[in-house]
Amino acid sequence: MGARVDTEVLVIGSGPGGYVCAIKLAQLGKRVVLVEREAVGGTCLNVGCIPSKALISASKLVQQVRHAATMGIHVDGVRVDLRQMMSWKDSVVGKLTGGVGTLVKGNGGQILQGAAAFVDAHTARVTRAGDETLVGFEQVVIATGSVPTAIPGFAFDGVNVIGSTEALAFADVPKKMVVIGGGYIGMELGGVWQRLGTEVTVVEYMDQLLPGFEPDLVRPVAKRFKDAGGIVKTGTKAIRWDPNQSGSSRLLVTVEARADQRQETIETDVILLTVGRTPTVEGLALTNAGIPWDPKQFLQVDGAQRVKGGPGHVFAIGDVAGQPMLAHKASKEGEVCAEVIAGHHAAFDARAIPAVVFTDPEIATVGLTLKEAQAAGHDAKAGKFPFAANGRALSLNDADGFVRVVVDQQTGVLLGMEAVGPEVSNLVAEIGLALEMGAQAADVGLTIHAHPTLTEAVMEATNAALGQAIHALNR
Amino acid sequence: MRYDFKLPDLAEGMVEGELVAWLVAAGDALKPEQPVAEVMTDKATVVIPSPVAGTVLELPHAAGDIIKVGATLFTLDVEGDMPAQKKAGGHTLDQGDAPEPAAQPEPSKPEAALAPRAPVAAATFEETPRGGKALAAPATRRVARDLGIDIGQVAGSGPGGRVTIEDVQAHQAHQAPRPAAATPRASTSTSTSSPAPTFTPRAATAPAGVDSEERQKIRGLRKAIYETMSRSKATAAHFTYVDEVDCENLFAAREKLAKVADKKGVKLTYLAFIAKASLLALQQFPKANARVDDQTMELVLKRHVHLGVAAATEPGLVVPVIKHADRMTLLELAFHIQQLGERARTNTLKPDELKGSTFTISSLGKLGGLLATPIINHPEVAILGVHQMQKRAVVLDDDTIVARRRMNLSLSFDHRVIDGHEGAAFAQAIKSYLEDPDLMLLETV
Repeated sequence: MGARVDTEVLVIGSGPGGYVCAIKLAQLGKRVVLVEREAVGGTCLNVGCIPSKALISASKLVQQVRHAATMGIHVDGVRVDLRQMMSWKDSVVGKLTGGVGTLVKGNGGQILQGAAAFVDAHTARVTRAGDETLVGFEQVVIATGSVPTAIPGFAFDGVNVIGSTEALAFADVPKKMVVIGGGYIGMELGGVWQRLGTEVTVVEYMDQLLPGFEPDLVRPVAKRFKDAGGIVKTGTKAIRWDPNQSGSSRLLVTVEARADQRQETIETDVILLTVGRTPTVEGLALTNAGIPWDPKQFLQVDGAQRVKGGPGHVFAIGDVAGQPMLAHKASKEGEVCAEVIAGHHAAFDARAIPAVVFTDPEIATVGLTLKEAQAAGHDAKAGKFPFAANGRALSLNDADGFVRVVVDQQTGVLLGMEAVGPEVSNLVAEIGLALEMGAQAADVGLTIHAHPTLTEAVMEATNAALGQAIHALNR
Repeated sequence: MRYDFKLPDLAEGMVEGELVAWLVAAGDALKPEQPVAEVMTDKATVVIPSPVAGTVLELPHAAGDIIKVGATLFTLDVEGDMPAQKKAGGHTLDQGDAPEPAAQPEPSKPEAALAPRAPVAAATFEETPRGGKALAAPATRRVARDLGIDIGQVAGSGPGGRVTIEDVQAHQAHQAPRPAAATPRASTSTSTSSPAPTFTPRAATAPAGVDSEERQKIRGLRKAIYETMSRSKATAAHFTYVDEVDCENLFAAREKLAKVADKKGVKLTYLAFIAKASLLALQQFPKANARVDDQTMELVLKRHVHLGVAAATEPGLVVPVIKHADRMTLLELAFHIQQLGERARTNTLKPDELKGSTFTISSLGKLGGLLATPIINHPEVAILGVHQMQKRAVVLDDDTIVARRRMNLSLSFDHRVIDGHEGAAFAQAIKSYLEDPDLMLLETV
């Protein structure tokens, strides 16, 4: 038997929800123990957001160099040293995860390595390589995140059928890849390997790539993907995979068109399965703490991040606590949760959570789309501004896409923004702030935006929604 | 079997609670989670539910009783044996041994769960609504939460109905008095404890949503006054000293000198005399002509006197400042008081003429009343309020009653730096100059 630690708050999981929560708790004067069974930083820092963005940047640079002839730059013999690229990616990850550990400890938090399981409502057992520590706590925050979801016929084996984690750590560039699930993870990672030379086929069950985004937002992404040799099979179901006996590739994936049940096979070297993520509750022994759960469902929480139907001292944040599964939503929930535990009057009351997709080009949304706004009863109007009319986008040689802003015509209040194009992952922040401030569309439209920058497209789209665009015809 | 429910610590650091009301009676059959009592802590009123089913045996306290954390709040008769429950420490409850909620840490939020923990206890905490869509900036929403206000109920004055921090504060001011951090749970139980009303007030029949109120923005000068006054009241420890001044000699002196001044085009008012008297008194009590530097914990004594003379104007109170008033003759003071007063009324004062005062006089003139508690003009440490001069019946030493012109002075001081006897002595100095204006000749520059 191991030691016993008593603390005020136990945080299980050190991803962007858990570590932010732990730091905030420590800053608010709480004694906190942060438990992590794998690497500090969670999925986001180790095998998610950060390493994928590193590879996306690197692969985009390769592509730009290869296509720089338009600008009069001819580069011969571009050679990718994948080992070096991966080691650079790992160094980026290392800097951030190291920083997290330093911040948690520097604020007075304690990090405990191991897997946590509830013994009762106020005790958890943390196990690591046979060593056990009992942690007694007053409050507990479950921040265990999520894991990739498998589908029938495609169990993860780490070699043939892989998840996002393995797709960030190939030793060699695969010749062919089938991505099952054309959501943002599949399209981001598929894009990385496509730019590094892989022939990528995306199989998507729904009728468009990136389901959930408006079709016109997805169109520039699908076009670039196809122009670069990518194959898109939408409305298509993945049935099974087999070893390939005859062809040049190792595997054969059988897919079926939903419309006519016609089956076909696709040769590939690896199958990347990105159909979604499942909340991680396995092994936590939630029932020992009186926490109701359903293995297929997220933990249900209220605005104070308390688990509904559980004892009042149990909180959940991040992916395990529901959609959207986004790191920044987890972090915000972590801060709210910490403040609630410290006795502050906090609640998760954000008006909008931005979503960004690092495809080529990028997609970003925040707030309501035109359809959502109308469905919610707004007298809504959208204004759109194409990057083709933005000087900075043209000078970046990256002018596909547009910004669209949605406005309530009765009140003048901004309702949302969608964009596809260069750096829209950064541009969305402006409207995110505007939404939280309850800004008028005119507040954005009347603000001077520096020229020449991409941000002018946000201003122009807003003015277009008001019928006042300068650099586009107001219809 | 008996089951004693002990008062849990409902909030961090809580040692006792006051019983507000019983929500059940002895003999009542209870369901699990049924509310039993309302208990008030120093932070909030909370509803205590029964963790188990049973019949109420004893309610040993009366409303208003103070109950220690860990003391028995009520006793139930519970069917059969209590289920064995694991406690935080890991040991098992013996039969007949009631759970001890007080020994178990609970969430520190006032609306937190109160029931002793059972492995699959249903949630008893008030659920916090998720995803507020109020049209208000995040900082505004935080202010509303801190004040215990549902921002969805606040009328927004901003464009598109945006709720501002000022709107939230105004909403709170118009709410019925309630503790700032009142728990939402309290409202869920009031209906069970208050008798049904038999009289319907007229207001209840007014159309819903029509507020009989008018909203005026606190802006500009009003906002400046709002802030200055709040700051003064929040920092200075005010005390006010009131005394009565006999003005017969003052009256005679002014009658004589006013004619002379008149020829020079200056209106020699009593206020000029009072200003002069105050300036001379300040020479003897330099502590009253100072400011407090809170940062350095120092009293900063001013070697000059910039005299603030409060003036009522249409938009609100302004305090024009006579710079270096301590170097002025009575006539000069009268001249400047007149000039600045005129400019205040015509709103033509320059910003420079409205700042830098070191001591302030506030005269209510003919509305003067008997006494007032003037608020110190921050960051000064003293202020003189002047009341109306009027004839009063005065008992002289020989017991005769005569009519004499009298006037009250109300002086407020910052007790942090000026003690009562010093303030009183300063007031007496002013009084002595006004009761015998000739004395001022001795000091006049």
